[in-house]
Amino acid sequence: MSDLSIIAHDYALNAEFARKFNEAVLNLKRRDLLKRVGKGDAEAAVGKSRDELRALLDSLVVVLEDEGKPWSADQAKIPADVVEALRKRVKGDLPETTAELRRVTGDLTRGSALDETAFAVLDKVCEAADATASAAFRRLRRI
Amino acid sequence: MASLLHSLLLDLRRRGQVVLMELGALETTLPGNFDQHRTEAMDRIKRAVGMVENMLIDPDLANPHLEPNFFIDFKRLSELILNIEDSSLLILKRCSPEDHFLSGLLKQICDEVKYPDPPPLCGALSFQYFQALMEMDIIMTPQTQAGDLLALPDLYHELAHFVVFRQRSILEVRLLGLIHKFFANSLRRGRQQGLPKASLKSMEDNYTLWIGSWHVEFACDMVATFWCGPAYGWANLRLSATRGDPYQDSITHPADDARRAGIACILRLAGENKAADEIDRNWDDLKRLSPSAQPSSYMKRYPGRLVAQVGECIYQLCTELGFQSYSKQQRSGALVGCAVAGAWVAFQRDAAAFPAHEAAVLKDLRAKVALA
Repeated sequence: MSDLSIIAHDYALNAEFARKFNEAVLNLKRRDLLKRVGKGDAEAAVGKSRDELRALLDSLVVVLEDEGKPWSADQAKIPADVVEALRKRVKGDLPETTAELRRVTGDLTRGSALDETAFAVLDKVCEAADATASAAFRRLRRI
Repeated sequence: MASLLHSLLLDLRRRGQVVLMELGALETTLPGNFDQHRTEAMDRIKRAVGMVENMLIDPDLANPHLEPNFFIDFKRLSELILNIEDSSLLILKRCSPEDHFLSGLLKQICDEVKYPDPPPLCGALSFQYFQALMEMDIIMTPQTQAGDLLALPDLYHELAHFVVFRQRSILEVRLLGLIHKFFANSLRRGRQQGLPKASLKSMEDNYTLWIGSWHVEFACDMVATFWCGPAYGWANLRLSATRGDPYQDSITHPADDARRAGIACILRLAGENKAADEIDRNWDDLKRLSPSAQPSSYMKRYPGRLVAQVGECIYQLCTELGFQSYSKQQRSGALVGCAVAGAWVAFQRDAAAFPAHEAAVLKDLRAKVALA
C-alpha cells in the first residue's frame, strides 16, 4: 500500500538475481580461471552454476535483443531494473555486449571452459545487478 | 596487513553474531508464531555468518579475479543482516499485545483465503501506513491498526504482495505479456495513423510505468478484492478520500481512480454488481468534492480495456491458484472475512453508531483469535 511495499518487492527481486548470478560467476571463475578442481559436492556445484548461468543468460540475451519483438516469458525472469542498468552501463556497446553474452551462452552449452573475455562481460552483468540491488536497498532504508 | 574486504567481513561476522545473540535471548518470552519467526530468522543469520566465515578462510579471497565478486556477496549478506535487525528483531523484541492480535488475525485470514505459505508476522510499527516486507515475511501496519476494523481490508492487499512476488513466474508471464501486447498494438496503430512523436513517446512512457510497478499494485488490489469483496472497494474509497487528487499517480502507484476501476472489474467478475455500482456512486461523490479534474491524457494512461483485461487475468489466476473467494468465505462463515464485510455494512447503515459495533466485533475477534 505504501511505496515501501513496492520498493521491498523491487529489492527482493533485484537482490535475488544479483545473488544468484554472482554466485554462479564466482564458482565458474574458480574453476575456469584459477583451475581449482574440486571433488563430489564442489564439482556438482560447478555444474549447477553452469546450468543456472546458461539459463539466466539465455533469458538476458532474449531481453536485450527484445527491441520491438513480441513479449516473451524470458522477460519475467530478468528484473527490468537490471536490464535498464546494464543498458546504461554498456551504452553504445550494447550490440557487442549482447553478442559476447550469446557467445558465452554457447560456451556454457558446449561445456567449454570460459576465458577472461567471457568473465569480463559476465562481470558487467554482476556489477549492473549489484548496483540495482544496492540502489533498491538504499531506497528501502531511505539512506 | 589484512585486506579491506577481510576487515569488512570480520566486522560483518561480529554484527551477525550480535543480532544472533539478541534473537537467542528472546527464547523464553515469545508466543508460538513469534518464536517460529525467531527460529527462522536465527537460521538465516547462522547461514549468513557461516557464509562470511567461509569467505574469511577462502584462500582466493584476495585474488583480483574473485575479490569483486566476494565484495558483491558481502553486500548482499550485509543487507540481509541489517534487514533482520530492522524488521524481525524489532518486531520480536516488542511483541506487544497488538502485534500478537494482528499476527493472529493475519494467520486467520491466511486460512480463510487459502494462502499457500506460512502466514507472515504482523507488527503495528509502521510510520508509513502498511508495508509488506517480502524477504522478511513481515507486514508492518499503522500503530492503531489493531483497533481499526474498516482499514483491515488493506491487510489483504499487503498479503497479496507476497502472492504477486512469489507467484511471479506464473502471474507476471501472463500479466506482463498482455500489457506488452496491448501497448505494442497501440504503438503500431499510432505509427500507422501518423501520430506525432510526442504521442508515441507518451505511450512508451505509459508502458514503462505499467510494466514497472503499476501492474504489481493493480494485481495486489485485485487479489485483495477477490478475497475481501466489496469491503476492499469501500476501504480503498476511504483511504483515497484522505489522499487528495484521485488522478495523481507516481512511479510506484497508479492513480486512486484507476485503482478503483481495477477493483470494480473484480467485483463485477465476482457478480457483486450492486456493490460495485454503489461504490462507484460514492466515488462520483468523492470526485464532486475534490477540486481535481481528470487530466486530458488520463484515459490513454489507464485504458479501460487494459484494466479490464488485467482484471480478467487476475481473477482467472486467483481461481487457478485455489484461493477462496469472498463469496465462498461468506457462505462458510469465515471469522475475519465476515467481520470485515459486516463492519462496512454497519458503517454504511449508521456511521455514528459504528464505534459501538466495532468495539463489540473487535472484542469478539480478540477472544476467538486468542483461542485459535
